[in-house]
Order: sequence, then structure tokens, then C-alpha cells
Amino acid sequence: MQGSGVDYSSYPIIVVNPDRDTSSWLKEVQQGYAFHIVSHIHECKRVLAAQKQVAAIVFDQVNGNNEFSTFMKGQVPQAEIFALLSPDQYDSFRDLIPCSTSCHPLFKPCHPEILCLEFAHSIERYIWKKERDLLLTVRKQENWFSLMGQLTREWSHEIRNRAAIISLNAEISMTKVRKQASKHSNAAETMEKIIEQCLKISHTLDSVRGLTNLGQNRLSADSLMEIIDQAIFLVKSELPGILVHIEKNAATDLSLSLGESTRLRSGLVNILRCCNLTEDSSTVIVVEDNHGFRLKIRIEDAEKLPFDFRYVEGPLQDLLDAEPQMLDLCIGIRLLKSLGGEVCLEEADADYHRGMALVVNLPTDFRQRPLYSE
Amino acid sequence: MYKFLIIDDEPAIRDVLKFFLEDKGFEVYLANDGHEALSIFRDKSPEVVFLDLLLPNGKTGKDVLQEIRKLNSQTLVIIITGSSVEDTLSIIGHLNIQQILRKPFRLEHVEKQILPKIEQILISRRQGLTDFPQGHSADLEL
Repeated sequence: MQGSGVDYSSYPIIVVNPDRDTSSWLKEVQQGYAFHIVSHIHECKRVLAAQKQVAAIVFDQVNGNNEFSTFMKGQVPQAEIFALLSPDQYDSFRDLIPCSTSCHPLFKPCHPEILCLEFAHSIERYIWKKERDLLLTVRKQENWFSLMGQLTREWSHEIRNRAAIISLNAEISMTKVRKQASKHSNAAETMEKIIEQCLKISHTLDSVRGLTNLGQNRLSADSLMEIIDQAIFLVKSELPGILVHIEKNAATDLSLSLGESTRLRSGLVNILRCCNLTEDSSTVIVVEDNHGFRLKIRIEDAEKLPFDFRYVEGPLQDLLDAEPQMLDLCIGIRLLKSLGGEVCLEEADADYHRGMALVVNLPTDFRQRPLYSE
Repeated sequence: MYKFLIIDDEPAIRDVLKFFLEDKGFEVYLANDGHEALSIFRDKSPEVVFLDLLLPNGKTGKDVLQEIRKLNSQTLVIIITGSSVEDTLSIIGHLNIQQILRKPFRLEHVEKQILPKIEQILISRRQGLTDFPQGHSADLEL
């Protein structure tokens, strides 16, 4: 007999101290479920510690003297708990299982069909609770990221204002100094350095913004393709000189959650920003194959690829002396890795006659979720 | 001589831009907030507006932009902002602007990239050569 025709074997059920009858019906309902049969509660605790997804615990031969009451008084696991009661316990089962406990009584003789149904419901409820908890955790994280993003945006705005005042005044002073005698040329150089540093502050703020903007969804998007379009649009808006074509060779699209879409967009923006996409032949190609979705950023001239993967895993302050776009690359890669994606360089293949492509392998579990359509 | 209106609550930025633009021969007006800006806009009808989006005293940059568009759809509007392009576009929605200039920016960029295009558009318009494109906020015209 199989529970609802569904395979629930990933969600074990622990049966504690089964008698002969229980052991026999267990054999009947075994298909589709994973039972762990144990003799004592301490063994049950061991299985609970070892198995992460125990959906239910079934206690047999429950009486007032055994360890059952102690177990129920202790920390109750997330699994649903059942107690199998014999006919002589019908009248007094509330003494054994008080209403205050989260244990459900099941009365013998148990029909296997009913047990299957109970177990299936327990596992479904367990899965639902797990998903709800996960969703709540994700929402809490997103709220936190949202707050971080909001604060960072406000501070970033303020820092940019200060940097603008310093650099604009330096630029005005530099122009005035240059109009005067050449003996002041050192002063002009100093002004130029001040301006450069202000612009570097601005660039650094842009790069790290991706990390603290994860819960913000200023641009709404529901699908992977929209996110890719938005990332390219944002980079084009920031860097008007960019020339890039996009080829979509994927037959399907995917729906993404708020956290995923903001992280993916920020990661892609950071990576595209550092790609130096000024050649007419620059192309972003979306590919879907057996490995999932991939994004190939192809730049015709390999010499111009500014990527140095040495810095990716190291501390970000190591990048202070590196090319400014390296910070973008590192943060972009870290964001995509945090989603389960990968970034690598790919040699020229049949599609690419020369040069190399930066390949963004999008998270593999993206392909398991088709686009939600109304 | 073209008229510029600079709307920014940061006096140091307003003053530097005024100095720079006057040096190029333009007539420049300054506003600290939205109310002052709209009053000057109605009075002086500037051809070009440099507009900060975060303004004090209850009228935001977006409010000012909406009013400007109602009063004169052909005014060239350059947003000067410390925010990202993404945030700026989401704030202004579909209101028409010509350029987003992110702080900190170089006057050299304004001089070499933005001013020549502004002059080109304004000259063409005076000669009746081109209509002002009624684009959407994403169509950065300059």
C-alpha cells in the first residue's frame, strides 16, 4: 500500500516501541514511507538528531510509567506526534495524553488506509510548516536588507553630495590655477588628484551598493528575462558609451522572488559595468541548456577583458590598488555566488571566433521553477 | 544668451555651477527649494533646468518636474542627483527628462558633453529644424 501514490520517503517517520500488531501493519503501509523503528525513546532522540526531516513520531504501548510523558514535557520537535492507544486505554487516554500536549491519539485496531492518510497529512503539514518558516526567514532577511539598502542609499546620497562639493570646487580652483603662471602647476596636479579621489569614492559607492540593496525592488520585474533587460538598461544609463547587443536563445523564462531578482540584477549590473562593453561586437547571450540558464558576455577583443579572478575570494580592501572595475567584478561574482550561480571565463568555441567570453552560470535551481502565468 | 535655472538645496553646488555657467556666458538663476524654483521658472522661463530630486520644504524634485512639464513641455531638464540611475528613474517615472547627471560629476564633462548638445538642441529649435522629442524618462536625449 502506498500513501496517496506519492513518495514520502524523504520525510522519515519514527515508530517507537511497536508491538507485534503494529509491526505487522507497518509492513503493509511501508511502501512510499521511510519508517525508523526504535525500541526506546533515547534511540528516537538519536534518530531525531541524525535525520533532518522527521515528519512524524508514532509512540506505541504508551502508559503512564514509560518515558513518553518525560519526552512530551521536554522540547517537542517540529514533527507531529501520535500515540497508538489500545482499547483498554480508551476511557483514560486524556490522563496519558493531556490536551495541553501536541500529541494526537490514534485508536487501535488501526486500519492501514487510515494510517496512510494520517501519515500523508502529517508529512504534508510538515512540508507546509517548513516552507512557511523558510518564507518567514526570507522575509525577515529581506526586511533587514531593505533597511540596510534604505540607510545606505541615504548615506550614499549624502557622501556623493560632499564628494561633489569637494570635486567641483577643486575643479574650479584647478581651472583658475591653470590660467595663471606655470609655476603653480603642482597645485593643479593636486587638484586633479582630489577630483580623482572624489570620483573613486563615487565608483566605490556604486560598487558596494549592490551588496546593500538586496531587499529593494525599485524596478519591478517578475522574470529572468526582464531582470537581464533591466540590468543592461541600467548599465547603459550609467555608462552612455556602452554598445551591447542581446541575444536570447532560451525557449523559456523563469519567475524569481523579490530577493532573488534584486540580488541577480545587482550582480549582473556590477559584472556588466566592469566589462568594458564599448566594442560594437559586445554581445550578451542568454543560453538555456542541460546545465540551466547561462549568460555569456562576449567581448570580441580578449585583450580588453579586465578580469583578474585572484581578488574574488580575498578581502575587498585588497582591491584598493587594483583597477576600479575589479571591485565591481568581485561584488558581482559574490552576489551571484550567494544565489548559487558561478562566473568563469570561457575560451572561444564554435560560436565565438576569437576572444573569450565571460560566462555567468545562473543558479541551477532557477530552472526548476517555471514562470508563473495567470 | 540662454537662461539656466539651478535647483539644489546645497549652496556650494549651486554656487559652483552658477560660477561655471556664467563664465560660459549663460544667464543663471538659483533656487534652494521647489517653491522658489517654480516662482523663478514662471517669472524667467529658463530654457534649461538643473534639478536636484531631494529638495526641502515640502516640494520634491518630482513635484517640481511635474509642474515644469505642465508649464512648458519643451524645457530641457537635467537631473543632478546623488542617487543611482535606477532610483532616479523609479522616482521620476514617465516624466520626460533629458539627462541624469550623477554627483559627483566633472565640470569638464558638462562643458564638453552636455553644453554643446544643449546649445545644438536650442539652436535647432530656434531655427525650427527639429521638434522636441516627446520621449519617456528613459530616453536620455542628450
